[in-house]
Amino acid sequence: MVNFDTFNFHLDLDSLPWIMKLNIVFALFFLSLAIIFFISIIWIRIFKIYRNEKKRKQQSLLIDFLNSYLFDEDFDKELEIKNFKENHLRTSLEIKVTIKEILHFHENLKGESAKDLETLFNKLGLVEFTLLDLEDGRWFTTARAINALSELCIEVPNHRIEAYLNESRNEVRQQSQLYFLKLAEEQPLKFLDKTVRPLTTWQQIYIENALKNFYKGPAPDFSQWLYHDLTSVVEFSIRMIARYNQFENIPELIPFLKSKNDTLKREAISSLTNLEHIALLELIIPNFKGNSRIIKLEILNSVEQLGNYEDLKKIGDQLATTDWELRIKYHNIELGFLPEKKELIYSQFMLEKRFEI
Amino acid sequence: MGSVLSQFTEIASWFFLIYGSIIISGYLFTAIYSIIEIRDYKRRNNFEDDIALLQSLNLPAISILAPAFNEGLNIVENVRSLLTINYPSFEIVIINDGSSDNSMELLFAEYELEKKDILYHNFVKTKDIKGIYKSKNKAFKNLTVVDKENGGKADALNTGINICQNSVICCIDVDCILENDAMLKLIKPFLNNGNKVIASGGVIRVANSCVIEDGRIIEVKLPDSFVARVQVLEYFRAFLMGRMAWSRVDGLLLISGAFGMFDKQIVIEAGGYDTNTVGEDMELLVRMRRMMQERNVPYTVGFVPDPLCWTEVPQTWEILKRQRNRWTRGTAETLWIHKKMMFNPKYKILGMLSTPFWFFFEWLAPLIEFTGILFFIILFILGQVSWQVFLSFFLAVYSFAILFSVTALFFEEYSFQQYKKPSYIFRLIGTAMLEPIIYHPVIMWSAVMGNFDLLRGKNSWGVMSRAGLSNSGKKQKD
Repeated sequence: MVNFDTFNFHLDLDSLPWIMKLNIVFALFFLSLAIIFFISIIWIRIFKIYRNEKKRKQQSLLIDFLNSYLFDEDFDKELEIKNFKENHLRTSLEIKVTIKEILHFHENLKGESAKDLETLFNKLGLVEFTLLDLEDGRWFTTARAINALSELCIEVPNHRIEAYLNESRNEVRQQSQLYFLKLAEEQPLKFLDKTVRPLTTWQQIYIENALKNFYKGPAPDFSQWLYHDLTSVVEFSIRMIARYNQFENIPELIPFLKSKNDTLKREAISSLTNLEHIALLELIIPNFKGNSRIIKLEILNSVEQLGNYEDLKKIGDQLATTDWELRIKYHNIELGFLPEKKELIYSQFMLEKRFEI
Repeated sequence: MGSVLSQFTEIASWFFLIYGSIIISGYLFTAIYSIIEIRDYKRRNNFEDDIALLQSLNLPAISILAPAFNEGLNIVENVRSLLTINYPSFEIVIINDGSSDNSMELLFAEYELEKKDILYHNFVKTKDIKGIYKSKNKAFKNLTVVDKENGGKADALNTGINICQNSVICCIDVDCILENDAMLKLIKPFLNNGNKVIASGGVIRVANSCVIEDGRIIEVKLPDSFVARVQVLEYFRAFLMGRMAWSRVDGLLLISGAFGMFDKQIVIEAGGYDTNTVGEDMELLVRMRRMMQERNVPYTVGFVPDPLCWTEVPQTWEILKRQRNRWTRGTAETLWIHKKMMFNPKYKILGMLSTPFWFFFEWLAPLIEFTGILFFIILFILGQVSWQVFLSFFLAVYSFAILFSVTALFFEEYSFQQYKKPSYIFRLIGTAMLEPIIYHPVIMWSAVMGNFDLLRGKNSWGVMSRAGLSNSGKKQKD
């Protein structure tokens, strides 16, 4: 049944059918690629081991060098800097590790020591290297350079960083925002005037963090950005007004309670609540029904924080019976106001739930 | 007769050749997109400052939903591990899906649970809840345990969705091991995007044989069993190659049920997990995406390639076959439910690329492969096999299979390099060489049987017992 003649193998390539030739070509191509990848894997492994070892050596060298530079009074700074520069800043890896390690030290030091590190960074010629990176053109190198400049408070002409405030890459924008913020002595958010791309929540988190932990000057008046073109900037400013307890800006926030933009309206309600503006409830409770779900939830939050059971009852009449999310929130707040009626509220809710009232 | 057979052979050969070439091209494009995305991801995440994030009041609170069915062996440790996650504001909701073991008793005793009257609504219909419990101990204030009638994983997750308090949910398998910063990483796509993000998924890694201490991976080891080791390669291919590429083109159709984060409101609006399919994770994401496309709302789905979640994979052939049988049924059911999307330009990349790809190359591939084998057997019986052609074809396919695995291994080396011992590379290469001959036929057969079972109307998960990570290198507590 089986034709065993077909087992007769020939190695004469020319006489092979085209399909076999194709298969063999594919097989050779795939095998070659597999071998190339295998060699690459081994190469990457060796390269990473070698690079990590060099990194480790450079790091340990730097730890000694930086400790001596910062804390050893007998350390001949000028001579040692010259030696270090000549012997240990020859390759790109050595320079990158050095920058990273100085940044790491700088992050953990304050006052004179931090200033000394900034001076050292300059004397080692790392500023020039960073500026070259800044102009490199590749977004990740630019972001890394701006990060180093802002961490070490190295000032460069504004226009060189401003160019990146509206870069297409989030990461570059974020680093340039933090640069202006960390270097500012006053008006840390002035860069917002030149910002035309929306701030992501992620960027807002980092801006707020830098504002609180790095910026030392007077808090800016956040109301100046309440009419910015970007909703995200306005949202951020409204939130910051509450975070910085700028009670004087409460009148500026009130108009946002009528905003058609739910993001801004919600942020305004939340901020006025955090500022404990009691009059807020009179403004938001009567119109509860006409709002969207997220605004209604925010209004309920405000009632929970600022109001009492009487305020809550005014909302009760405006709740749709099918709006279970809001009803649950409502009853949970009610439970907080009337803990003694806990069982009654719970059983009443379960009854309504059972019969879908 | 002879010429008809010859013509048929010719047509079939051409069909298999063209199909194979398209698959290979698809994989090559996937590889290229993946490497670009991995490189980009690594560059994007150079300046993370976890402290700034952890201090922030702007991070949304997360509800972590973990269904549990007969997990008594490890449930106490698993919950403790979940409670130590690094994130400013979260709750853990354990949903006991009618376990018949002592899971509830163990949780009661360890976490000092007491019944609580909690208001909730069935936004998604589920089986009855027997009770909701919170801990008397304030140290466990983040923990909620729901005891319910058995209804399957999807039903348990829906219960968690109904009960939980926060607007972002993270659905996980209770026995998976999360990295400390898993939530911080997975939430990032939600916060750093111009469009609305409806879900984000992470990479799942194989925890078999790894050294685990206090619910954390201490040392990454290669699994001892061949079956588990092949799955390491499979996971590299699926996550580092496949999903990275789909994420790059915003065409992801699947976020693993073991670890995914979702916008709760969108999940509820989409109707929650479908309890009638065994591929509930894929089906939910496809339905959410379809709903957003139909509403014409700009949105996206995030994907994080960091190894954030470790899970135990099947170590025996039997359990593996059941798992793959179920995956096939899940894929087929999802594609059938959403058949309207296929080749429909209204759904853009999902309609024109993702669903056709899943149909032709995920669902259909094992069937075509099986047909190819049947075709070969018929030719063999009829004495029509040209062994030279066969061997050359086999060599081409085999070398591609090896190339595919080695490429995935290269991506892992380039990106995260979790398997540190140099000997692991050689073991993985050896595994890659054996996989097409030993492992792949079993997977193909399971997929074929999955389709057969689907036609027979089988709709169960099958018993998915696990060896337990404590038996695979986990350091026992004193």
